[in-house]
Amino acid sequence: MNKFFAMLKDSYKEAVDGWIFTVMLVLAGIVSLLVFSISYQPIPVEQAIPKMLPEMRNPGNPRPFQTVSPERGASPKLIIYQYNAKVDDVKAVPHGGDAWKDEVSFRLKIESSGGGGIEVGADNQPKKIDFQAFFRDSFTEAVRTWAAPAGDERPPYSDAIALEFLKHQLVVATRLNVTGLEKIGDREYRVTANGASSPLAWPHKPSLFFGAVPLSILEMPLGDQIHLVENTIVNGIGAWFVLMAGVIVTAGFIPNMLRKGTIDLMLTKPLARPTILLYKYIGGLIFVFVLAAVGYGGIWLAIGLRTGVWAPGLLWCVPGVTFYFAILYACSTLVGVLTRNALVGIVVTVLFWFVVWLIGTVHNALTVLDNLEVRGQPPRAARKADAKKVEKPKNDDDIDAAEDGPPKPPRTLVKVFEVLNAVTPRTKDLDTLTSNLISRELLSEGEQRREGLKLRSIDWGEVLGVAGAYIVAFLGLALLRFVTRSY
Amino acid sequence: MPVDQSVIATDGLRKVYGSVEALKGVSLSVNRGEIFGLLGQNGAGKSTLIKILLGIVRKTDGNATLLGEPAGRSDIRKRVGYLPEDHQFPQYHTGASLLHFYGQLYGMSRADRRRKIPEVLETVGIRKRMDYKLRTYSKGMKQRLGIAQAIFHDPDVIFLDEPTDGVDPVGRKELRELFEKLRDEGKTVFVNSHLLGEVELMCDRVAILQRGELMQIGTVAELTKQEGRYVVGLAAGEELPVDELARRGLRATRHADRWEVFIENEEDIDRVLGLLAERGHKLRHLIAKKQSLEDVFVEMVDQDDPGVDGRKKKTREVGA
Repeated sequence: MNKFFAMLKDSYKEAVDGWIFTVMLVLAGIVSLLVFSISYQPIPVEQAIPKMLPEMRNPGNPRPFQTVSPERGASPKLIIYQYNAKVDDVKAVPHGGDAWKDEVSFRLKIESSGGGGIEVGADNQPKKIDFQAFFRDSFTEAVRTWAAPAGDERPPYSDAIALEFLKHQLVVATRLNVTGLEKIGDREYRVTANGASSPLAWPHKPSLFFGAVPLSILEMPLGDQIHLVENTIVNGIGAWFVLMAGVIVTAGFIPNMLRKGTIDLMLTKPLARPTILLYKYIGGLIFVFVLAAVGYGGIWLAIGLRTGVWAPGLLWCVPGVTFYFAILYACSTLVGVLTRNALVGIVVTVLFWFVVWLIGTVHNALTVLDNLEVRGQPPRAARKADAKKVEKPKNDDDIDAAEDGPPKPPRTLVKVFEVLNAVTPRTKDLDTLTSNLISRELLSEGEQRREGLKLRSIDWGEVLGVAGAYIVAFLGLALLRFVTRSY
Repeated sequence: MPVDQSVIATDGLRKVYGSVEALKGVSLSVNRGEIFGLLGQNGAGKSTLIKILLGIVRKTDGNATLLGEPAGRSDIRKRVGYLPEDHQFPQYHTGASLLHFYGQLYGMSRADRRRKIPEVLETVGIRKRMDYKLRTYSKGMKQRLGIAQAIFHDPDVIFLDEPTDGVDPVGRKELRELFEKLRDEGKTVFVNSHLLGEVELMCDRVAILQRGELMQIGTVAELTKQEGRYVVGLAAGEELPVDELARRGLRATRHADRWEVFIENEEDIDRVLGLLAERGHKLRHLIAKKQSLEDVFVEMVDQDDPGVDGRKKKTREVGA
């Protein structure tokens, strides 16, 4: 163990000797301080409630309020319907404390925009599009779909079911403690609630540098804001920087050790060759673990101190990123042993990383197109003739007769990418895992259902098995070469 | 020397790199408590021999043992120190931190390391620089540190490849004394060097390797001894009677104002002196000629094409 720590300390000294490690630590410190300087001010009830139920703008990014699960929310399916929720006449009964705990009542007006019936797939892309639903009342369709029992016909629309549906959607989407819901007009409802179940659900006004620079554009529920920082900035951009810095810094570990005059000294120490290489490999992993821990930990601490939210999801990303790096570093180690050149190691590893990402991305895109089910789409010729004016068919039979789905990708291409995706490390799935870990405690139930859908679609045994097999194969080949080579 | 005193032994050791045979069946033995020098041109196979003994290079054939165990075993390396030629220490270390690192790999305790590091750095003369980064060290200082790392874990056998390279003359003398001290403590010092004067001064035994073959092995005195040659100098203007010596069966050649006389046995020099007395010559200089190690080495290896060893080798048997 003493020898292991010696090698580890040596790797640490090597890492901190270069400027990249220092720059990364400084960057992590600056970002942590920046995040620490963000102030979150709960916004008043009158402004908050409309922001909790935003109008649907983009079908590609549906809000939970407009995303419906059949079987009264029990089904794993997610189907989008385009109806808008207008909020006005908000009345609050302040308790003198936090705004998110105030009793509130507001008027909710539902407006159907005549769109929907799009089932979302695990990748947040359309899975099934039912064009029939486009020509019907979307709110009615949503209520009927929500109330449909498993494997049974959808029930007819009724006001009673609509009330149940709305209450369920409000809880799922807003985390308001809904205490009352009554119909006051044509699709107009009076909602009363006893505050929100968590401050994370309440829209806050963020501002940088302890209030000096308001960021009004980001006024949204606190959970969404933290999620934006943690998932997009830290786990997205930050992880990329950590991995890239890791690849660059550690690419020199093995070639430097294998330099003539250095390897002689190392090989004459009482250590078996496999031990030397494995210790060096673990040293590289620990380097990235430390870098990620400092970066992620610093931001987690800053967010916790400023918001009181100590969601551990971000910290779980540290081993996640380290595992991701373990795949890349195994590749770098093999190239380092074979070529004894750090630059070649960096280029080949980044290329491998890019190829793996590209295979995952293309595979996902092809899967979406291949699995897309379209029903009731007007004929392509008609769409081309007048794309903007698609006349409403007189009855459903006409729609079915006109069915003409989009072209499917070639089967051979789909199969090739299925095989490629199956036999290469699925780094995109690892991204999904870390993203889910972060979302778990920050987002509304509706958002989490969508994240959960993504997560459930992944075979983790396969993902970890393939990644592990790559690590073992890369390291095995590197060891074989290192052990049998004369230096 | 008893067999159990042998700490390094090779028998028919061969190493082939592709089509190049770097070692062609080398057999030698090095004893405990001696300084052994291995000489040879560049590419003669000196470093390959050491690297096989240390397990850095795999042998092709033959046997090699180190401290009684098959060469290359990792546990035996604990008792071995090594200074490679053109060594490159990681620049991010200081002198002290490098020795701490290597000491840990040798399994030394923290207390031992703390005690021994200043001591050994004092011994090689760089204690004052122990906390400086290695990138600030001169070549000579790095060489001294190299020797320090080779000896500070108290090994039984120390392999030194060009140990005085880059060290000033005073430092060389100090290092020679250090190696002699280590020998006196019962340690075996195996030296590869091109500095033949150094080797001649400090080595007990020397071997010459030529194109992967062991050409000579013996003590320095044995290798440099040149029986039957005397250098004769006469008073100014006098000439050695070379023709008369030839008639008497003795050969002599002139070198400037002196003559080198070749004799077959010790008594023949009396015949030369008798002739000089007969002719009334005044003897001013008479000395038994001894070769330097450099003479022996140069005579053996190719000077026209260094490192390639193209000239036909000469073999000479020397009693060990």
